[in-house]
Amino acid sequence: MAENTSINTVQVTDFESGVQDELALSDEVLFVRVQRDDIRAFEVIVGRYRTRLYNCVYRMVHNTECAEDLVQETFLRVYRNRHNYKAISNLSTWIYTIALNLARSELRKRKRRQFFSLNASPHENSTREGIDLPDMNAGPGDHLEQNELGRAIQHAIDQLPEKYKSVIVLRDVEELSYEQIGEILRCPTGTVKSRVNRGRLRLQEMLRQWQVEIL
Amino acid sequence: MNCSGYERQLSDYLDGKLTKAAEDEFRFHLNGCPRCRLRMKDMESAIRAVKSLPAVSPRPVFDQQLGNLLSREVARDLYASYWWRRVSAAFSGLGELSRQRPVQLVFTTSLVLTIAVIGGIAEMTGPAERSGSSDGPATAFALPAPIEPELAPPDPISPFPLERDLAPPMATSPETNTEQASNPPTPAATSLPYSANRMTVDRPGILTVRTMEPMTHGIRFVSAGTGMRLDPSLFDEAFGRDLVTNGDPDRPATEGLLQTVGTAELLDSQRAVGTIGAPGAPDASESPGPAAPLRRVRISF
Repeated sequence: MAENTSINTVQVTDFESGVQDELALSDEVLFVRVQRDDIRAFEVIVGRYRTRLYNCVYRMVHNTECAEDLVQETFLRVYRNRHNYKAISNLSTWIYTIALNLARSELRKRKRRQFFSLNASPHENSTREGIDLPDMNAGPGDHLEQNELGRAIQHAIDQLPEKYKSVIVLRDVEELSYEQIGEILRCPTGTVKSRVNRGRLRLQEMLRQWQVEIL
Repeated sequence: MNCSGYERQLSDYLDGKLTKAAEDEFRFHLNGCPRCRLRMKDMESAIRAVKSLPAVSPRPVFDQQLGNLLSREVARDLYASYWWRRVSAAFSGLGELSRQRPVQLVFTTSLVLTIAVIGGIAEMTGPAERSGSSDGPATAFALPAPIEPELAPPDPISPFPLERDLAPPMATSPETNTEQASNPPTPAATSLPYSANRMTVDRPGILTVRTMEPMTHGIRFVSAGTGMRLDPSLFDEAFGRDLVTNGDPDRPATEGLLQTVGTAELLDSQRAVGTIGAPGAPDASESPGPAAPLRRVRISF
C-alpha cells in the first residue's frame, strides 16, 4: 500500500513538474514509465541492472558471448513483456527470474548437446576420483580471472549441478536474500536454504580436493 | 541432534538465520565437535572464495548491440501500433457509421456486393459469348483477347501436354471447330496437317507468344485481320529473336522456319483468326497421324 502511494505521488509530481531526476526514482516507478513506452526510463533500468545481471549470468554459463546474448535477450523480454509486469512484485525479482530461466535453459541445452555429442567422453578430463580438475587455461571468450584461485573457484561452480549453481550464484555472488531467491526460482525458502547448504558443502569439498588454499 | 543435523544448519548459522536458542545450541555443539568445526571453517572458506570472485562487466560492444536490438523493438512496436490504430480506426469508423446511418450503410454494402457479383458472373460468361458471337464490333473496353481453352495454362500436374492431345487434326475433322467450319480455311491453312490452336484478335497490337517451357518447336502460321497489321518482317524479327527458339534457347529460329500466311482469315471487321502450327509438320496426305511435336503455348496481347 505504501509502495503504491509513493508510486502515485511520484507520477503526479512527474506529470506536473516534468522535471524529475530519473536516477533517483525507484525501479518500480521507472518501470511505470517504461509501460508508457518511455524508452529513456528503460535505458536507466538497463544501466542499473546490466552489470549485476551480466555478472550473475556469466557465473552461471561461464562464457562471455553467451552471457552477453542472454542478458540482451533478458532485457528484450523485459521490454516486450513490460505490460505484463504487475507492480505488486519486485522488479529486480522479475528481471532475475527471466535471466535465470534463460541461463538455466542454456545450461540444459549444453547438457543435451554434450549427451548427444558423439565425440563427448565423460571421463576425458576426469581424475581417478571422478572429479574434474580445473582447466587453468581460460578460453578465448572468457574473462581472465585475476589468479588461479579465481579460475579454480569458477571451475568449481561450473561443476555444480544446476540447482545448486543457481542458488550459490544468487546467494553468494549476487547476495540476494533467501526469500528473493525462493521467488526467483519459484521454490520454498526452506528448499533454497537446503540447496545453499548442500551447494556450499559440495563446493568446499571440491576446493579441498584440489587443495585450493583460501585465505 | 547429531552431526548431520548440525551440518544442515551450517549455512543458516553462518548467514545468521538461526534463532538465538538454536544458535547457542549450535555453538555448544561446535565446542565439543572438532569435525563440525572443521566443516564450518571449510564452508566459511568456500563462501569467502565465491564472494572473492571479481565482478565482471560486459564488453563495450554489448551496449551498442543492446541499443540496436532495443531500437528495432521500439520500431516494431511503433509499426504495429500504427497499423493497429489504422485498423481500429477503420472499424470504429464503420461502427460509428452503422450507428449514425444504418440504412445508407446497408444500401451501400448491398450495392457494392451486387456489382461484385454481376461483375463476377460477366467475367465467367464473357469469354464464351465473345468468342461465339460474330455480330458487331468489339467495344473499346473489351478485355484482352481471351485465351482459347486449349491455350489455357497447362495443368500443373501434367505441365506439358502435347498439343495433338488437345486439338484434333484440322484436315481430318475440320468440323470440330465451329469458326473454322463457318470460315473455310485458306489454301495455306489447309495445307497444314494440324491446326494446333486458333486465336482471336480483337484489337491492334503487338502479338506476344509465350511458351510454357524453354523450348518450343516453332510457331509459323499467323494471319491478321482488319485493325491489326501484321508485317512478316516484324514477325520474323520478333519471333526469331525472342520467341521461337527451335529447341535451342540460344539459337534463334531461322528465316525459313518462320512462315506467314498470305491472307488474313477474317471473322468480322475487327477480328481475325490465326492458327499456330508446327514447323516441319508432315503433310496430311503423307501422315494422317499427329506426329508434330507441338507444345502448348500461351498467347496474350
